[in-house]
Amino acid sequence: MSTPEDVKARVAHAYNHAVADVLELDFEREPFDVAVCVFGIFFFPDMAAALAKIASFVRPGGRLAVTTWGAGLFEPVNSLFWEAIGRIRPELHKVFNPWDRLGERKLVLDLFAQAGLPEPVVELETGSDTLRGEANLFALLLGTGYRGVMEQLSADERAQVLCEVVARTHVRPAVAIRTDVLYAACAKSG
Amino acid sequence: MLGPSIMIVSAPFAVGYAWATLRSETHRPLAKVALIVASTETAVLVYLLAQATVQKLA
Repeated sequence: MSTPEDVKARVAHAYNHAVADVLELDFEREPFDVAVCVFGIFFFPDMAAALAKIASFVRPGGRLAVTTWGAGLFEPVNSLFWEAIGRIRPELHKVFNPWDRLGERKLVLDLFAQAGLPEPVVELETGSDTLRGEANLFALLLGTGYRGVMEQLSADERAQVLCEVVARTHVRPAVAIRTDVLYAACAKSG
Repeated sequence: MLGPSIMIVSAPFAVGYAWATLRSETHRPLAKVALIVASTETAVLVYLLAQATVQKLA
């Protein structure tokens, strides 16, 4: 039986890492059976170029899947958060809400077409989550793409934003938020 | 028999989903895995999680 040290040594030997621009990655072409992009494609300035690059690593006949948020993500918190930011730090208003770029089925289809890929099957899964109290709300604001804005606020400004959103969402005792997801998948043509 | 080779491109905040994808395939060893995240810290975290799982399996 292998000891943990034996296994760790084998894993360390098999593991490589690199820091690079995704568009400049230099993996061997087409070595993967599957590529999935999980709530990430909308962060790329050129989404079509990024998707085409990811697809270049998939073998012919392999599968490519993308998940993205549906329209209305985190509402009603989303609108109230941006309204608070607009009052407290107007220069930061909606400077970073990247998932808005891809929240509709047609936008996803267009993206795959622009990347030169076959038309994907796109499914919308409607969802919701429940925030219970300030701690949940704060976790949402710091644990998602809002964090970039939150980190630019002073401690007082953060408290003010949180106060406003708490007061208007009735997060105590609980508020339901939208978390619709779009799934898109296609087989790479040979 | 080896499982598929998988590339995962994930937002740092969604890396839990990436980890779930890896775990869902652990009934057979994956041929190759690549994880691309826009955060060195997140990559290190996933690596440590993978190591912890390997250690548990050993």
